[in-house]
Amino acid sequence: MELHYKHTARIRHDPMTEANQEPGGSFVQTLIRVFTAQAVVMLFLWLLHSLYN
Amino acid sequence: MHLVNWLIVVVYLAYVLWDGLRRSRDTDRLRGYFLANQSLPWWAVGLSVMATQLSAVTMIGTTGQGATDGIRFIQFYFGLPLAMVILGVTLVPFLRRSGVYTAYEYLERRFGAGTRSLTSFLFLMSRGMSCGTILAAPAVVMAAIFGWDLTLSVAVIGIPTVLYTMVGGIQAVAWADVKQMILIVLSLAVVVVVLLVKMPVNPHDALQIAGATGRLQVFDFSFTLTETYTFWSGLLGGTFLMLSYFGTDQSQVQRYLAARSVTEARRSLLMSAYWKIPLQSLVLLIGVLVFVFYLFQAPPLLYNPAHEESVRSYAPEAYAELETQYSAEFMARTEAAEAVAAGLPGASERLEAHEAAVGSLRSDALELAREATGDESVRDVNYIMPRFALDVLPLGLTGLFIAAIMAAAMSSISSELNSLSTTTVIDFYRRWIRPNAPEEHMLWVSKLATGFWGLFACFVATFAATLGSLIEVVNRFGSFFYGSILGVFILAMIPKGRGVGAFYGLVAGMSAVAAVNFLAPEISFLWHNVVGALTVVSVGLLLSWLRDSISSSNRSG
Repeated sequence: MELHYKHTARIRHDPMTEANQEPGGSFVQTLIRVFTAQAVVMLFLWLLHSLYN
Repeated sequence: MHLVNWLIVVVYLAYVLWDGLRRSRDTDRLRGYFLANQSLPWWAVGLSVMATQLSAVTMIGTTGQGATDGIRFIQFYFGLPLAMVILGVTLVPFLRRSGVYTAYEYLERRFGAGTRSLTSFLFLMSRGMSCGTILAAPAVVMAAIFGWDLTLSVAVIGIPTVLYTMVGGIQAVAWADVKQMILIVLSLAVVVVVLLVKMPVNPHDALQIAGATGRLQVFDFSFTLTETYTFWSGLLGGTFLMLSYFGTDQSQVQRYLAARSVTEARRSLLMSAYWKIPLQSLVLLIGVLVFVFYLFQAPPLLYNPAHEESVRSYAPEAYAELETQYSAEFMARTEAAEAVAAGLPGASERLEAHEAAVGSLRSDALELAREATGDESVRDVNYIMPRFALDVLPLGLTGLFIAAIMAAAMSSISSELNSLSTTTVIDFYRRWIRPNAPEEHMLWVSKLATGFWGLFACFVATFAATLGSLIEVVNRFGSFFYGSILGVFILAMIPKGRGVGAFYGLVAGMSAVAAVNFLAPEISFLWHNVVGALTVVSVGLLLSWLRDSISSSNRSG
């Protein structure tokens, strides 16, 4: 059990490290990119909602 | 349907089968059959993830929902982009690095065999049944539209899918998904073009008319737990649902386990984050435009030809009377729509009144259909789009759209069959029955398991039409534990989480959702996932802390 725990704890730190090493791929940067794209989509939906109601 | 359209459908089916079977050459090992030797590029995985989620229900049900209820359903997906980013940073690297075949296999390493077996058993029960209902939805519609026997309809979609999934494994499934996704998007684009060309009013006027009937009301910011689709239920409840579905459902997890690297797996998920909402908006908007189109060209009173025929022979006079009233109301509604397009004062109110009158006549006709067929679950919404495709789309494009409906069904069913087989073999057969069996034996059992689940799905689909309430039970059963399983995975990422906490936390989470479901049925199901996940994490952490406290006091004592 203790060995399993150590194993998963080791894995646990890798994702963040890798996310930060990825070119232009830190969590915050990815989040900004995805939400910028969604903001454009939401703006389009909001225009539909407000212009035609 | 014209021979040319049938030819297109047959060519599609033959191509999918041939392409799937030829991909079997790289699947002589278990790792190739279930994980494609982790060789799939990110865009193929991304398209496969999207194709799996986009079933025939989206093609026929969601467009129908757009036509009858407008595009507010899009709020359901507002949590998806955030969920994808969270999963890309947390669960994807976790599962990839642990070298597992299934998400549940990882849970044993963390919490023990009991939690793994319980979660994978729940997955098999839920997905096995839902696979049948996913197959049933288009099969029932096609049987009604073409006058086929339901068994034939199930066989036409089910048999080729089972064959290529059984022989080709995930390679066949993922690459077929890519082509099926392209076909689906192409057919949707074609429908948009046809709608714009054939619409008697310009696009601005069409949107004006749709808006006057409330079909372009996207956002509902009211914070009410009883309304299913609001901005907040979509954003909060939807995030939990999407985290559960994309993070813990083997049919999705297996896609990104088959990607070349963690980075590629992450990119494949981000494809959904970018494209799911625009694609779903397009599907709903097509439904809205079909509604506007039918304001100017009279649709049948009942879209389902089988129901129409039943009602005509059951109550010919009553139905004829309804049709006469419907013709008059349709004319009045068209005039009101033209007045809205011309910007005349009071036209919107008139259109709304006539739309309500037409809706009421449709409800009366559906009531007659219920009496005639003896089926209380009769609805018409799933027949709007197929009827539009048959009656309005030009020669060739009807065949393309019917092939796209089949593609949507097949892409979802194949992924589910492959994941059901993986879970059966890895989490049960290899874990409990034959842990040391040779690779060839495992591969043979895997193909057999795919075939078994395929037959099971076809069997459920054949009877699903007459078991309307069973489908509801299956869906409710699924919603009982989706959020709870997510809670177990969240607990797995918390170092203080222990096996005893995960197992009993899962039981507590499912019980909490069941209690909410029965004691407060008015609460929207999207919130069930939040309740389940939070209960598992809090109860799990409490029990884990208790276990650690008892252990340390025993040691010191």
